[in-house]
Amino acid sequence: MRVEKLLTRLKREFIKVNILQACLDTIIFFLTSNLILFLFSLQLVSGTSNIKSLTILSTVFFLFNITYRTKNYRLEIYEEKNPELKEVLRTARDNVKKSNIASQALFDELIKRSRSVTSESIIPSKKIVKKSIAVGILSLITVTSGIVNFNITENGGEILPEIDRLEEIVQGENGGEFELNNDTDIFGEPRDMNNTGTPVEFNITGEGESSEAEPSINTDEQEEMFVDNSNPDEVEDIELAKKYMIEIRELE
Amino acid sequence: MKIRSTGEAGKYEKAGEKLTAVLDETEKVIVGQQEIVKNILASILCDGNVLLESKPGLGKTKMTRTVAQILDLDFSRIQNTPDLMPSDITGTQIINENNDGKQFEFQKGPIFANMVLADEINRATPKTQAALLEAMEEKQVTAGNNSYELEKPFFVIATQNPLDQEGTYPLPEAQTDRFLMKLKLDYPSEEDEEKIVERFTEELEYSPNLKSILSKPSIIKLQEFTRQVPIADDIRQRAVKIVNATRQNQDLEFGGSPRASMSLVLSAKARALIEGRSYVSSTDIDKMAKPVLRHRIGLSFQAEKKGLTTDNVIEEILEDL
Repeated sequence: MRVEKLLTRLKREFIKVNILQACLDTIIFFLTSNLILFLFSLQLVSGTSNIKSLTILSTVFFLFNITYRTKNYRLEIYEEKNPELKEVLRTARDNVKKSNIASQALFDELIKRSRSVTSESIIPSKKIVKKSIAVGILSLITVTSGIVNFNITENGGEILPEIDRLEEIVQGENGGEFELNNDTDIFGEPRDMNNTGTPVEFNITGEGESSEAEPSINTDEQEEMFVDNSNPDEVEDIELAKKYMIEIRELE
Repeated sequence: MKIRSTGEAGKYEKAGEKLTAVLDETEKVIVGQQEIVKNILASILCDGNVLLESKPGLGKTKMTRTVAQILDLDFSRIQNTPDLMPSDITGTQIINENNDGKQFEFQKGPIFANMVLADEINRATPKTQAALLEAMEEKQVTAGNNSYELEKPFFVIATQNPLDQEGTYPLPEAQTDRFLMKLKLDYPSEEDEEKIVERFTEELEYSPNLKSILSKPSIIKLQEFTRQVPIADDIRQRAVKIVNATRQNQDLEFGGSPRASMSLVLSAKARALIEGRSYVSSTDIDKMAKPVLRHRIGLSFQAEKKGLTTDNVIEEILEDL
């Protein structure tokens, strides 16, 4: 029972360390994103301030980070970080159901030795230092950006401009409130097609003679066949052409 | 939240302190050789016996006698020779004449002690060796139609001289397997030898006032404690793997038996208790591998030709695992 309590305590220590790590990661994520958006004069979501958008994103990032880290909890992590505890922890875990003097002595020893297991002993100190330095540098640059304008581009635009339109579509005229209509509301009442009308009877019959002789067409008629009177210029030309033809006949 | 320790561990800690005191007390007489003394103590805790290989004049008798005195054990010494009979060890029926007349009475042999030093066991005939080894195994002696229980704790240190092999009867492998450990007592360092010379040449008989740290019942209690020492599953597996590897090694004719695996784990537990630890470490297994395995494995002809020893092969196995 006491050993189980100890194992719970170890897990709590582990979570403490991971919260610290996740916090640092989130701060780095926030500051870096903010700096990039500033440098390229970008707006993450149009109509929403970058700080607001980044805060939401960072919160999501933090939650994912802490969930992922906590899921990876194993007793072996302590063994790796505290080699002096490795065999004691493993032996205690394998003999947790035994209750003789020797095993009690083991559990007592484990509890005694585990008191030295604090958050510090399982912190990857080098990583933490590096991350802290990164946070410091990013904070400094962020502060400087408020004093000196060193944007790379002046008009970077928006990363997610469609959001506005989407909002309009989604919000509609009711300022964010919209209702889902059914097909009747959209297309009206359905109408049934009436197909019970009287059937129309029609018969195609015709008369005519076919002659082998070429139809006699006089010149005027012939000319008219080729004349399209739709264009007035062409009509003038034809009239002129007629005059020329008459003149040529008279000459002949 | 504060987790408090119970007082149960107090008894265990006390046992560890007593064993440390035994080692300290031994140093009043024995210079150096702490590892050998520790292993002898571990053997006693495991209720096992020791085969001690040593050249003459290295203080085997002195060491055994000192340990027996500190542990408050009855000590006896058997000098094995080719003409030594089993009854010389176990005891014999003698005719006792008293007021009731003549009666056969069992005269106990030197085996009836808590700690027996069987010097140069390989000089005794196989028959005598068998009688001694049977007593070691069964913890009892049969003479005539009667069986006599040996007093607990019972512990045998049998010695062998590695130099002079002529006219000896080397112990068969089946019998060496009955010894928990085979210890090799080597020459002391120059510094230690100076101390030995100084200590044993200034007085006619150097006999410091040795305290009895443990009693017979407390040794039996410690033997129970030894078996209770917790061991992690993977460390136990390592012990079994080591012994298993001796069966598959190319340089070995034959490897350790399952008894070897049991002995390795048990000796590691005893070592942990002596070191004052409440758990078995993998270092305990590695440290006990040579003493426990070296007499239970046999080198192949090729390995002997190459000049390898069983210790070399064990070292190689430990490195590989």
